[in-house]
Order: sequence, then structure tokens, then C-alpha cells
Amino acid sequence: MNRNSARQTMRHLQLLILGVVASCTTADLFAQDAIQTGSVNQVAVSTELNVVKLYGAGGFAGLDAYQSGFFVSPDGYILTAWSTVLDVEHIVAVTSDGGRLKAELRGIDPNLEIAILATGQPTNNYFDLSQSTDPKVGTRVLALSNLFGIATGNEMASVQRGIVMAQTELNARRGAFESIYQGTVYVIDAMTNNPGAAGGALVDLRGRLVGMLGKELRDTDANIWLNYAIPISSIKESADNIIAGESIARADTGRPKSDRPAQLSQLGVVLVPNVLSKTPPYVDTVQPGSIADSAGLEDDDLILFVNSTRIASQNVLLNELEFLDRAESIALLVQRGNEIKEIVLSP
Amino acid sequence: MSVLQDKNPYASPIRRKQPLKIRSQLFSLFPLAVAIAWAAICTLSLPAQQALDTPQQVETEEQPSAGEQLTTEELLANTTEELLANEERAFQQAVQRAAPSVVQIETFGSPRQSGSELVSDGPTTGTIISEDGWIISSLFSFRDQPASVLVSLPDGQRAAAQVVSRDYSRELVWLKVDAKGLPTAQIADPKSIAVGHWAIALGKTYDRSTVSQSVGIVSALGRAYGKAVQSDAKISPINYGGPLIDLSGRVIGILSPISPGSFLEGDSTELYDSGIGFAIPLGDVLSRKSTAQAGEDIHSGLLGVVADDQNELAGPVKISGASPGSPAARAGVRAGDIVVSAFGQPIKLLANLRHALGPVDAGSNFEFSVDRQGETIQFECLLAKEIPVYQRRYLGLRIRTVASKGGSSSLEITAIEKASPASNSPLRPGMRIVKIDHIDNPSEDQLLSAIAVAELDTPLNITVRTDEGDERIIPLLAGTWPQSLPEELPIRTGPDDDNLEAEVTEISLGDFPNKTFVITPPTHSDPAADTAPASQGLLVLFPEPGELEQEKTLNHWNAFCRDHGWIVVVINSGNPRAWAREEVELGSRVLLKMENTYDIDSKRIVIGGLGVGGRISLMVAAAHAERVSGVLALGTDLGRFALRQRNAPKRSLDFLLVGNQERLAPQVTALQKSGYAAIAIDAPMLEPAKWETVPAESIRLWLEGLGRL
Repeated sequence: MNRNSARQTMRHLQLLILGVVASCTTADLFAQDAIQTGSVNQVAVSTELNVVKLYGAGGFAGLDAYQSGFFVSPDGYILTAWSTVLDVEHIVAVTSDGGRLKAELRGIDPNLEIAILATGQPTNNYFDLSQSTDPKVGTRVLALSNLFGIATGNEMASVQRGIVMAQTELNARRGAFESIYQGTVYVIDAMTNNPGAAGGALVDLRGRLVGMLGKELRDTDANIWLNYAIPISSIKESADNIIAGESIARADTGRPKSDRPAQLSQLGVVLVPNVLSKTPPYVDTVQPGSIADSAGLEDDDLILFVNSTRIASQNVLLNELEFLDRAESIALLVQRGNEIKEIVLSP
Repeated sequence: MSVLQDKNPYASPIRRKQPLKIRSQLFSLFPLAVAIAWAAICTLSLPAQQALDTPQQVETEEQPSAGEQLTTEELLANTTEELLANEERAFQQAVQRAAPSVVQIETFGSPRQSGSELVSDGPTTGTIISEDGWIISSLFSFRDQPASVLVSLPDGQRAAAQVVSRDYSRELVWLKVDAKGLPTAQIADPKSIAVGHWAIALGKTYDRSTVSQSVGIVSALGRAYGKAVQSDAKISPINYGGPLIDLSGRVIGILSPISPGSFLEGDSTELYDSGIGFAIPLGDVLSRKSTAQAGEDIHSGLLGVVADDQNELAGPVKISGASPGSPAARAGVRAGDIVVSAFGQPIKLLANLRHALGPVDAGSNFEFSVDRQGETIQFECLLAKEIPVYQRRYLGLRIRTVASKGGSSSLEITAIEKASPASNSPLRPGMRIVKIDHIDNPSEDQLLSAIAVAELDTPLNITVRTDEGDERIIPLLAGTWPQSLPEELPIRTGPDDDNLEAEVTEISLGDFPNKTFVITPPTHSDPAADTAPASQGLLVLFPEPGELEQEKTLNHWNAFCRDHGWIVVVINSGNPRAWAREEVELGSRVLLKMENTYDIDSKRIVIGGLGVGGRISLMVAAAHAERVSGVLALGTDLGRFALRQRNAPKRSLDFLLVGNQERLAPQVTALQKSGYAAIAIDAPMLEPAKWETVPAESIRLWLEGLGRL
């Protein structure tokens, strides 16, 4: 590495930044400054007007008593995340101009974990859900929320910039609890999900609403905190229904276990002894003449996938079989030495 | 494994997260400023950009204005929206160019312990570096050998991969799949990698087909002791193993969980989401191709010199000695040598030496030169993967510094420990040490250094002067530090007057609210005028969280203080229910304050704790191994606490673990395996908050033992 040139570059960069900053403060360049920063600034300011600071229950046992929300209609309905903060009779919504509104819970969607609050106050500052858009991975975004409850009174919500880092299915939990919402989310590369940020707005650089910031969640796969927003396209229909006065029941999203689950013995497979918490599902023996035998499964094969489910251990395999019907065929992806083979077990 | 998060009452993930994330909020402001300023620079000022002496500037290529000289006014006419759109397009093009060589990797059946923060079941990312199937990933998912590794190739097929080599120095892994014609990563010209340039981190953890992307800038070069590029793009398990690319889609480096020096294992998680992430320059990865592809693992190279002052900013780098059995010892480095250069570059600070050593692998050549009494001596040696585990040396002497005629001072032997190496020698109390090996009139620290690095089969030559004024040379083999309590020790005598009481003062620790007391022994004037006042031992205690019965605590240590001349500091937790990780910082505050206020004997600085406080004490000691000499854990369940660094000369820690001996046995074994002296004392009745149950005599013997040489 050429440190000298790096240092030099850094110095240049610093000088240039200083130059830019200095020029911003010079009166005769003020107009140019406005041109340069106007767009992002306008987007931020105009969209921030739609964001409210919400105060409700909490404040003990590590739960926060505040979160964020935003107006989604001219008659003062607010979209936010459904959380314990809303477990009070009167929720207080503080608008960006310091207005203090009493808000009532209009309704919730327990599947999306969203809530609509009614303030009864007409407003010009709202996001039109029908104007929302779906960003691509890599799109630059701004997150608007009252994270850490740092804004009070007529202070604007905080703006963070980032990009849509990935789009993925949510498979996360808070503490030991699985997230109820299991749909698509946008993962953001900025720290957007902190206490108080839930219910905030995610907009693109044209000010178009793209998502609602979700509650704090831990990514179970990567084992890190997840910064994400739920796409408005997933929320819109439900939000409209709640505003229209419909109540939305908890859908049973649980995967039903099979009445006649598949079993290793019925398939003719004996695995190596399951002694570790994550024993690899190696086949110890295949019973001659069994379903597994005729499908071509062999001793020492390592089972990697069952249908499309990744099998990280024997325990995962045993659990997965409970959801499969023994009358239906099962596609296995196995490793034999260095080879990857697909094997279909047909009863 | 993570030691701080698991089953640890004072560091639940949620508690720990917030301060980090608040910090990251602050961090995020700078890139924003830089991003805006940089964006302005990119479009505004072509000449300015060239001034950045970066030959390859794709930023400008992507701009419509490139190639023509526009006036400032014309350039300003570009709205920010256009600018941002162009920039975003440039990001996307870069990502598209690099994306095909980024693959998702799944591991199966890793036999890892569950329940730890760092365990990752999920997929991880790899970067293809050759068309015939060599792939680099990070060690994150490969610390243990998985039963199977599958790589999702660009055609959508999964292929089995072999783990061929692990680079423990850079936390990377080399994988091989059988394939042909794979798209490969293109390497960025190292000269074009510069601080402030855009850098995009790619991963494929979330999705087999689409890369995840996070945009940042290059924050620094030569980090982690010269091994890594730092970026503020989001770098985490989401993209470890993926590439950090520049705006032309070329690979700057491979994203790695590497973190610059930390003592306790599992610390790299501390940098998640902090605006700091690292990538190993691809050139540094590829230059190890032949080693890695031959299936050899790569390790950091160890030299084995021990600097007098372990402070990184200390200089010149004077050597207290070469660790016995190390490359430096074999090359002939001696105590007193000053390292002046490495590979022709000047070494002025210890940090310079660490940076010079950082990128050098075990088995590679290291050239350095030392100044030995005005003469420059060149050394060349192969760095080692391992240095024999170091066990602390001792002779069994007690010494004091006495003033000699003529204003200088010398070391007088005051006592000789029973059953020690010195007890069978002609050394006697009252003798003065005038020379050790080739060092004339050694200071206490020089004597200590010489003993610390003594080979166990080569005697030290100690020249002493007797009361009669005769000088004689006494050869003496050092022994390894005792792993059991001595039966008795030369006891420091307290004041004869029993009415003298220790003094208790409350002190303030800056912005920490913790109630902290200092108990100091009564001062007494020593009648022997030629003796400097004896320096005192320091015991810093972290009790169980919450207010202890203050009076009892103070009474208990009061007597100890008075009789043995130790200063005891008791720090209460800020939160009455739990210790917080941040409170580890209290340790260094107290040490600094005490060292500045009192004459502390550097051989006898002990950090202790009761119950949960014992964990804090271990963390404090780990962070300050060069100053702390002992760790006292009373009734502490140390669980899976592990020290990442092994024992080293002049950084030795002695452990006294008091509690259920059976439960402490594995800890003692683990510590001894790393070279530390560790003793377990059975005290099954020990209730952490009750001082009466603490076996005071054992602790006293152990504490006093620390004063030996």
C-alpha cells in the first residue's frame, strides 16, 4: 500500500471538503449552494412534515414509550407499527410543527403488525399510499423516524441516508420471539431500526414512499440486528381496509403438520447416531428393498435439502419430516463424496 | 467463542447494542457529509478530481460531463437529482460488473456449540478468484470443519466445495469447487485504492441470485497491523467473504471479520454496525496462492521479542528479552537491544514494529536490525507459527532498592523464599546485586526483565557484593513460577502500633457515578534512613453489583491494609443490579489515578472481584496485562471465559480462583495451558457478598507471593 499517496489524497480530500463547506458559507455563493443541496433537502423536509412522533405506553422493562408514524390520508389517519406503545387509551401524536394530537387506535393488522391511528385532524402533509413505489436493490433511500426519541415538540424527525441493500423474506425474531410478519422486507445499509424508529417512513430520493420501518429484529441467520422496512405494496391493501373500518383477523400462517408424517423407518433410512446438537444427517444404512433403496440413496450419503428446505442437522430433518405426507414423494438433494445428487423418494 | 454475551447478566444483547448504535449514528453523519461533498466534487470539478492523483477515475467516466470542459455555471446547472441519479447508475454498473463472481455458500452440520452470539447457521458469501473454481470466503462460517460445503454457482447449480486452506491471519478461507469457465473477480489496481473513494460491499447471504450491496467509502488503508482496508460500508456476517469493489466493479479486497488487536475472544462483534469494517486487499490474498492451494494453512508470523514498554506508542523499542524458544531468541536478540528498523523502514515506536510484523506470515522471512550499545546488528529470521507457551520465571528473591554512597542506588536482597531456585544457592539476604549477565548495576526492572526471559537450561550469572565488600559471580538457573501457594513468605511488617488505622477515602472517577473507596495503610516513618519508602501493593476490587454492607467490607480490608501495606480500592457497580461492560473502563481510570497518587509496586497490582464482579476484574486485567500482575476471582462463575492471548514475558498474569474447586478445575487447566500461573482454592461455602467466608490467609499468601522475583 502506498501510504504516502494515501495521506496526500486524504489531505486533498480534506481540503476539498473544506473548500466546499467554506464556499457554502460565502454569501455570494448562497444561490449555488441551494441548487446543490436543494433536492435532497427538499425531499427530506417535505416528507418529514408527514412524519409524527408517537407517545404511548412503556418506559419500563426495556420497552420504549415512543415510536414513529406517518400520515397516510388527508383526514388524519396515521400508519405505524403495531406494538406495546399503542397499548393505551390515548396515544399522543406530535406533528412536525409541534401540534399535539390525540390519536385513537382505528384498527390493526395482526399479520403485518401494522396499526392505523385516527386523529380526526385534516392535514395536507400525508403520503398517498397509492403513489408509493417499489425500489430496486441498490436504490438510495432516506429513512425518516424519531429514533431514540431524540426529536421533541416541533423538532423534525431524524433523516438517515442509505441504500436498499437487499430484498429478502423476513425470518427474524426479537429476543426469543419469532416475528409475526414473515413477508418481504427491504434491508437497509444504515442503522435505521433503533428504539423509536418503528413506524417511520422510508422514501426514495424523489420523496416517494417505499416502506415503513419495522420493529427492532435480530436476523437469526446472520445473528445481527436487522435494519429493514416493510414494502408499502405489502401494506397498502390492509391499511386501506382498516381505514375503511374493516377488522382483520389473525391469519393462521402456521404450517400444518401432516396427519400421516413421513418417517425415516418407513422410508428405509437409518442415520448415524444423533449425538451432537447439530449432527450432520449422514445416512448410516439404507434398508434393502426400501423406498430409499429403490430411489438410489446409498450408505454415507449426506442429506442437504429436503424439497427446498435446507437441512443443517438431523434435528432439522426430523422436524421437517413431520410436515410431509408419507403418501407424497420427497425430493432429496444429497452429497455423495464430491458429487451432488438429486434423489426422489416415491412411495 | 463469544465470552461476553452468553449467559452474562450484565451484557444482554439489547443492553449492549444501544451505545454502539448511538455511536454509529454519529459515524453516519460523516459519510453523509463526505458523500455530499464528494458528490459535489465528482460533478463539479474535474480538475480537482485529477488533483487527487488517482489515475483510474470511473466516477468521471460515468458522468455525462466527462471529457468536455464545462464552465462552472454549466456544471452547476446539473441538478442534484441528476447528479444522484448518475451516481446511483454508476453504483449499479459497478455492482453488475462484479456480481457474477459473488457466490452464496451454504455449510452443513458444523459441529459448533449453539447458544453463542457468533454461531451462524445461515449461508455466507464467497468471491470467485479463478475460472477453475477457487473461491475465497471468510473464516466466519469455517472456524470448524463443516460436514459439507455447497457453493451456488452462477448457473444456479450447487457444487460441493472443499475447504483447502484457512488463513488465520486474515480470517479468510480458500475453497475449491470442480468447475470450468467461472466468472472471476477483477482486481483493482492497488495504486487506485485511496481514502475517500467510493467502496461498495457485496454479499450473497440473503439471496442466492441477487447480491446485497452497501455503499460507503474507503476509510483508511493499512489497518489491522497493515493487513486490511477499512470502509464505512456496512460490513458484517451479511457480506463477510464477499468483495469490496470500487466504482469500476474491480475488487479492492475481500470482506473479513478481522479486527485489530483484542485480548478477549469474540471481540470482533463489537465492531458490527459501528461504521468500521475491513477488507483484505485482493493482491495480498492472491500472493499467498501457492501456499493456500497446496493445502497449507496460513498463520500470523511470530517473532518473540518482548518490548520493555508494552505501550504501542512507546519508543524506542527496547527489548526486555526474546521469549525463550522464539525465532528472536534463536537469532540472538538480547535484553537491552533496541529495534531500529524492519525491512529497511525505521522502527521508532512499538506500533511500527507491530505494523511491520502484521502482514508477515509464519514461515516467511523477517529482516530487522537492532542497536546494541551503539553497534547496529542485522538479523534475519523465519517467523514462527507458534512460540513455546511461556511460563513465568522466578528465582525466589525479595529485593529492595537502597541508596549507595555517591547518590546511586543498588538492589539489596532482603529475603529468600523457601524451596525456591535461590534457596539452594549461595545467595543470602543482605547481598547487593551489582550485575546480571551483561547488565551492570541493574535497576529492579532490568533484573525483572532478565529473569523473565531466562532460558530454563542456561543459568543467569548474578554478580553480588557481600557485606564485606567482596564480589562474586553466582550462576543460578531460574525456575518456573510456583503453581501452588507457598507455605510461608517473608512478610512485610506493618506498623508496631496497633492503634494505627487504615484510612478510608471516597474518590471520584470522572463521569462514572460508581461509589468508590480507597483504603490506604497508615503512614509510618521508616527509621532506616537509607531505605526508600517501600512501595505498596494495589488491590482493586469489583464486588457483586449493588451496595455491599459498606462497613463490613471496609473493616475486612482495613486490617489487611494496615498489616500488609496494601492499598485496597473498592468500586461499586453503577447500576445496583448489574455490572455493565462499559464499566471495564473504570479499571484503567483507577489504575491511572492510583499510579499517579501513590508509590505503587508494579509487581503487585491485582484486580479482584466477588461473584459477577470477578468477570469484570478478568476483563480489566486482560485489557491491562502489561500493568496488572494478578487476577483474584472470589466465587465467580467464569463459565466459558477465555483469554485470547497467551502468557508472555512481562505480561504475565497470576490467577487465584476461589470457590468450588471442582468447577474451577477446567478454568485452571485452561489458564495453565496458556502458560499462566493459576491456583484454585476450595471454598465451597463462599458466599460472594459475605467477606467472612473468604479464606483470607490463602489470599494473603498469594498476594504476597506476587512480590517475588
